[in-house]
Amino acid sequence: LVMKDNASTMCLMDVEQACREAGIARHVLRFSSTITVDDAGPSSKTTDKLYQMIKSHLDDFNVHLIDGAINVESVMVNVDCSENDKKNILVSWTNEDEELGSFILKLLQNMGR
Amino acid sequence: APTAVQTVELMPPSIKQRKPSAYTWGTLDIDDLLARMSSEGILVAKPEPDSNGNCVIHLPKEDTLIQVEPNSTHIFCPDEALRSKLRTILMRCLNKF
Repeated sequence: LVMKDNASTMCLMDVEQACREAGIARHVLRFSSTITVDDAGPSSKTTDKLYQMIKSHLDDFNVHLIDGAINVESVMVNVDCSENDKKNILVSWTNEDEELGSFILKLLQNMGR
Repeated sequence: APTAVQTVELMPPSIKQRKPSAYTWGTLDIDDLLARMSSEGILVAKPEPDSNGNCVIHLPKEDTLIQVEPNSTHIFCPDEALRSKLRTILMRCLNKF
């Protein structure tokens, strides 16, 4: 909620726009962590499994799978093929989505246990 | 192997509300960051600044990398406890609203 014109008007705007109008330079904190898993087959197959799993745990969110990457808000999940059927899963999120990002990281760290 | 059926993780209700803890702004003071990290016992290799205002801080022992740019900081950290500690330190170094 932003007050403008000497508090004569109030309006709702997203944080990026509010910062632009107020001349505030955002400083974006992003965290990344990698998990290694054993999963035979192509990376796309592992990505599909992760996509289904994340979607099943996050009913209230829009989970997207675009160009091989899974996106939920600012959280990004990418699968890279390593060696001997090992896959590296990169999980990345911004500070504003700390709870969501760390939840997804924990979810992926605990899968199959 | 990743198998969804074996995973039982409950989502905390606060995630659904999506209320960010704080928005950070401004430029990170590298010396302040390093001093705070040092006081927390986090030892770093020599920071590598460049002429564009960017800086890379490497924690070789912890396999952790901090890439600082004028308007962003990216932390690559495999250890959750250390990441959480670094997050707390960074939040203290930056302006918030």
